[in-house]
Amino acid sequence: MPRYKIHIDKPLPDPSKVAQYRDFDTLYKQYQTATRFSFWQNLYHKPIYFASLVAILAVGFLVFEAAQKEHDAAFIQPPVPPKNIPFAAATVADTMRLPYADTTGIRRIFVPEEAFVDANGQVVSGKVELRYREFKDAADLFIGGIPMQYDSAELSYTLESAGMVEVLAYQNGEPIFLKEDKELEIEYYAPTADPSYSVYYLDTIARNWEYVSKDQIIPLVAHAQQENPELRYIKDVSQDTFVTRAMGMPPQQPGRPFSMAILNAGDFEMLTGRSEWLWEYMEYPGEYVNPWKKGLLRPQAQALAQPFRVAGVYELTIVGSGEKIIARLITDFSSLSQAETAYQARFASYERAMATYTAAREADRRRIEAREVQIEKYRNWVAEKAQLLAASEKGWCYRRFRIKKLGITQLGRLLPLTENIPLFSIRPQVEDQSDLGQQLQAAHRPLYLVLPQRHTLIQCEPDPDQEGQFLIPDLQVPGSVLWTSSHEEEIFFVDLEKTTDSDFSASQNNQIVLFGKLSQSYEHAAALKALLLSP
Amino acid sequence: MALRKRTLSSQQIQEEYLLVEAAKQNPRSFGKLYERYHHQIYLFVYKRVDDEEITADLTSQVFLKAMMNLKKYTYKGVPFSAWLYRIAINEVNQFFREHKHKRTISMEGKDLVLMMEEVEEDRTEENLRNLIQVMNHLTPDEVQFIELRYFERMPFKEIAEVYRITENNAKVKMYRLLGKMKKLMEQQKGDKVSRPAPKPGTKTSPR
Repeated sequence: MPRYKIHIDKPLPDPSKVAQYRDFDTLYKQYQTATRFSFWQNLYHKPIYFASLVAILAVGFLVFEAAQKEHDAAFIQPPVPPKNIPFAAATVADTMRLPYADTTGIRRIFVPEEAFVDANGQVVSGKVELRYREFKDAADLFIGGIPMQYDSAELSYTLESAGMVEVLAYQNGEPIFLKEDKELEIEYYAPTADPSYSVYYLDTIARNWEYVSKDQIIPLVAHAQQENPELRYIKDVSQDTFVTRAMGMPPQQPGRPFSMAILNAGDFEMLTGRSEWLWEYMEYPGEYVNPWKKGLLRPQAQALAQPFRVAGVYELTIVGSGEKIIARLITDFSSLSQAETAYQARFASYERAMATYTAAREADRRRIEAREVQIEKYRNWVAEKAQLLAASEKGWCYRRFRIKKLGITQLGRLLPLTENIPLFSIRPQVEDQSDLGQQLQAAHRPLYLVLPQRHTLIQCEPDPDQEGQFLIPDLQVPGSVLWTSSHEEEIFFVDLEKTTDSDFSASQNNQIVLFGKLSQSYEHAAALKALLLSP
Repeated sequence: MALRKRTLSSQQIQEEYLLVEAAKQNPRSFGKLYERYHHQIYLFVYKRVDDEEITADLTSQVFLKAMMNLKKYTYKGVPFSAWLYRIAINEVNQFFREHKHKRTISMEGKDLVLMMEEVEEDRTEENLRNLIQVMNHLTPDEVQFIELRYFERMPFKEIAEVYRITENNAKVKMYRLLGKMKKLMEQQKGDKVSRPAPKPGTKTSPR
């Protein structure tokens, strides 16, 4: 006996007849009757009712709060929260231009005046802390737990990213928000100039990406050809032979007069009889030292020349211990004290001249240093231009876009996952043959199909009919890997490249067992990232 | 023949969302949604129970329950009708549990042809008969799934919302269901080739 009564092309009731049954007023009355509740009448008369109401409201509020938190947390699920991508921070005044941020993607963030409001809608004044981070590749997306599914017009897509940023703002530790009519402008250093990418905002309430606009693509070539006005007067730094400016010789320190009486006249016969003369010791600047003590004048020292007299000055060259000294006979003074006084005056004059000279040298040094800084800037600018040109040839560019809401924004494009892509049910296991799939499902952990070359990932759902198995789309994209994390914060991954088409076709009921590999322990996000992106 | 989806545009869904929000504030505003979907839900129920009076009662119950539970409704980016269909399916199932009434499957000939293409069979008279036979071997839940997809032309996203499963799971479920139907059809063909025509009343069980 047939199980069902099957009608084919049987006429349906006439619309006018159906309309006879349409009566909203009757339905509304039924609704009012059904929702009338005597609880309210008793509320004021019986304390137990009032207490019950308060208890129900309190429990309801707590449940709602917990559910709301779970709702929010479930949408963005970092697999290993302590290893999430850290935020960089910058404190800004009313306006800012974040120059050359310490990130590779965000180049500048332009913040307009009075851009932020607090939770009460009041415009925030004073300093504001901007916290920002990037999700540059598939590993970042995985670590950040970023969902990449995009639902539009009843179809599901996966977004492929050319760069993603999260920007938040705080004042005194409290979150603040963008004012309704204000926008932040972000300039992003992106790996592609493909115009098919657009700006999408991650709406965590609607749990979907929201299309924002197209972005502005700024070719690096144009940027590299721009002159830097600050440095334009430095024409060719490679030929710059700029060195210390010729300053002239420093002033000569006067020598201290000394009496030849200290010399042993017997050692230098030519000096005999001239012990009353004053001699000026020329080679030894600074404090006067007895030449004997310095060992310059030793008995074996030999006079090279006879004293001779030129315009009343005798000069005697003596060699002692390999050093040449010149002793000058001073005839202009009648006594050593008079010579000493004259020396003091000359020394003071020398010190003034030396101070002037030192100041001039110092000014010159500062000028040279400033010049060197400019040259360094110029060289950096030239190197940056070269880098820009090289990056431009590889397809990089600057992309500028505006955001109206703080949060996660990306340059994305659709990676269509049509209904025709077959889904495979896989049972991941680890090398010791333990059932990873069951562990993951027990721990409510998702499995991700990660496409490093497409900068995206797809969250794979548990197979509704097979415990311990997950459904993955067969995209045939090289380099696809599966990553997941257990509840013990371990990362597992499987290289799908190692599986072949025949593996799939030979599988029964589209089910295939893949063996995962337990990852090494890692210390920080960078190490984890290197691990995840390694071939 | 491609499966033409019967659904609303994003803008229409957004407008409908505003109507739902208004109805949450003021139940009287639910009238607009009632007017919009009464005919659709009525026919949906009628195709299964094949009785106008019973259908009118059940339809009324569907909308009453929708009104009473409207506060629980959460917008998930699909038409409001997906939620109404879920309530309608529950009401119809409950009706069949409580009454000895034979379940009806109402379809148009072109729906059958479309389904035939999906199971990759030639459009012959015999195959169509086989397909109808196969429908008799499906569980009510499986029939329901087929009806939503091929007779109501509902997109997977809305089917997922009706069944409270994910879209991918709905696709997999449909994929496996079509596989099952294909196998049943092949089995039917095999039976006809290997043995004489079955005696009237012989039951063919699915594998």
